[in-house]
Amino acid sequence: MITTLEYDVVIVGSGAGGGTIAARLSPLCESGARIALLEAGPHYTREHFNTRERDMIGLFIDRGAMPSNNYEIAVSAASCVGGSTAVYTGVTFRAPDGLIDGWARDFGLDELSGADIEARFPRLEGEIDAHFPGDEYENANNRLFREGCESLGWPVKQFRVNVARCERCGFCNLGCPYGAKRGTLEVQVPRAVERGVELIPNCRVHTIDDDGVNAVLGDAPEGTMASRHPTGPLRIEAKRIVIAAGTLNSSAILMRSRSRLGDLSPALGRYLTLHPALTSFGRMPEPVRGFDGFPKLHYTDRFSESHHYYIETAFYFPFVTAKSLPGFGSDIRRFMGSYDHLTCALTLVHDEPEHHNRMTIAGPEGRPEIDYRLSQRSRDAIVHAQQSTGRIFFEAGAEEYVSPVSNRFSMTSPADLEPVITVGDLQSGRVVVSSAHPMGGCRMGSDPDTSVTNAWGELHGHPAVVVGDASVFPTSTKVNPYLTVMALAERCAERIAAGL
Amino acid sequence: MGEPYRFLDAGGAATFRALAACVVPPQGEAPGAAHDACVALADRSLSERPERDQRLLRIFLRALEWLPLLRYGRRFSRLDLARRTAFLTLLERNRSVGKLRAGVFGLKTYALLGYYGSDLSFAEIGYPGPRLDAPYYQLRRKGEA
Ligand SMILES: Cc1cc2nc3c(=O)[nH]c(=O)nc-3n(C[C@H](O)[C@H](O)[C@H](O)COP(=O)(O)OP(=O)(O)OC[C@H]3O[C@@H](n4cnc5c(N)ncnc54)[C@H](O)[C@@H]3O)c2cc1C
Repeated sequence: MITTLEYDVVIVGSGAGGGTIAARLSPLCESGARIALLEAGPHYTREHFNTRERDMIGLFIDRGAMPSNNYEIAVSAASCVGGSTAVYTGVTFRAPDGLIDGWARDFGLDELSGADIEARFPRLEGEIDAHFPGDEYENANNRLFREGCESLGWPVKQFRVNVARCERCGFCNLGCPYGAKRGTLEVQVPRAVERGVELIPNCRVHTIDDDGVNAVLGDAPEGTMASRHPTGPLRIEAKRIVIAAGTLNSSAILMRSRSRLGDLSPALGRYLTLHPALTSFGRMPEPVRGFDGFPKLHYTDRFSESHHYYIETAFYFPFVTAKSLPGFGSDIRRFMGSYDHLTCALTLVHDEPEHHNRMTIAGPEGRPEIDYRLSQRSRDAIVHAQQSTGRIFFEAGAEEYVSPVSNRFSMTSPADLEPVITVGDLQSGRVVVSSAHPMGGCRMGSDPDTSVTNAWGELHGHPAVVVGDASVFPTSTKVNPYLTVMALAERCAERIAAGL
Repeated sequence: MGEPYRFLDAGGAATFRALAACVVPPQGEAPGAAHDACVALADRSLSERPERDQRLLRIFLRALEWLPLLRYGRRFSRLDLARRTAFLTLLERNRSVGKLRAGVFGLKTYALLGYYGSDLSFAEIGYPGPRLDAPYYQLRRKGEA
């Protein structure tokens, strides 16, 4: 039996985009608007986050990461209420100067302006407590990175982070156990629910049409909130449908809906960008305890213009750390034996949108898949960044440096970096690059042949369907993207509210 | 005898255990990734991967078990540790078949999860483990009281 429900607005996905839209539309509930927020994942709250890596990988899509079809890259995103904001680090970047105006100019988005988006950033940051943290946030891993950069004469800059009353326990990426991280799980979704938006977790949308969505409501895991509706197939009718299922899923939902929506843009799913990322490690003579304290504070953009990457501080849990080490056996065991002496940083590449890089669907159920090839530019950037990170760590006093892109397990001097870290060592499958910033697939633009949505996220030819997440980005942001997702989502919500 | 495996069949378990011992070999008294608890943790996680990945990893496990016959005249799980490690390195570094490299990476990843995701390894690496003052644990302690 199919249960049928009716709302004015249905929002698919409760992450940075969907959660923001739900909160922005929620005041309309007071005047009788019926709004539903559908989330494929469960409603875990801070009380469920046990800070154990082996259990908390369950928060992520595919219990870890979704590999590309060629195994060159594996992409992480969360599947739970709050979406990836439940597991993000909270590094808060405003879109770089000129990015949004560049989108407006290059993609014919006359109604989008950099000034409008920039004006939103301070307010959004205020709502989620984004600020430059004090010196007490700088743990040894961050300090060593800063000192290494300073000693090399490379610029080292600080991030804003969105935390309040943070215990600095370092478990941000396993779900904040103290509720200090101000993602949509903690801020926008509760606000929306309080004002009357109906949150329906465990509800996976399969297809949509101009009048509603078709979904399946699953069981709630033990101890999590269940919805009041019976489990099983659901048909949800709505005047406006917001797709905010994240880059890994939004274009897949639209592709599965092709027969219902008719012709969709040939650009659907395409121009995927991922900010390819890779960690590398220095072993210091003294204990670093990088797992203690806030993990990410600094970055260097020294090679952003010339070689297309940032290096950011980072620190991960034992399994994720070990997974990034090359080779087998005693080397891994020995190096991991110094886990509390390790420094760690993350290469973050500014990849370009390319037509062949895309989300696609496969199998009878239309499961999302990733077709992505690292460009030569991105490969060169990764290699250069891994060498540069080695320079920073050696400068800071490292005795040994380990990069996954190398022809031997480790290096002990800066002179090793160039001969040992080479493009030839960046073989798909052996080195699996990671990504936590999927963007694109439903890119905005004025031309329906080369873009999927307009400047408001409305699907070309289907104004009742709005895409409100990172998939509308026409290019990558270069910087960590969540704040830009929120700013664009807020615009979508304003447009929807005006039209209701 | 612990719980039965969910992903690994008997043959697959022998191959996986043999691989896990190469990824994190035992060291003195300390166990490695082939320890029962680590294999059980890896098996549970493997069983939760999407169907497509499980299918590929099963095929790869079988291929890994039999491919060394061509080179060493023995199955993977019957080789000594040094030969197994050499064979894995060969597959990992081969220049022509990306799927073999990816298969090694996939299974290595789960062997590492089994060991470094488990409390067994924490003391050795100087990691304090989970935050036992987190609300998750406080609530459970209250529930028990
Ligand atoms: C580990 C990690 C760390 C990160 N750290 C940072 C950081 O420090 N700073 C930063 O700027 N960015 C960071 N990011 C990226 C940031 O979280 C994302 O860019 C942002 O959350 C994207 O927003 P979104 O709305 O597009 O997707 P998401 O936030 O991923 O939300 C999508 C939601 O849709 C749901 N969904 C998917 N399919 C369906 C369906 N069929 N039906 C119903 N619901 C569905 C998903 O379960 C999910 O909850 C990080 C990401 C990860 C994974």
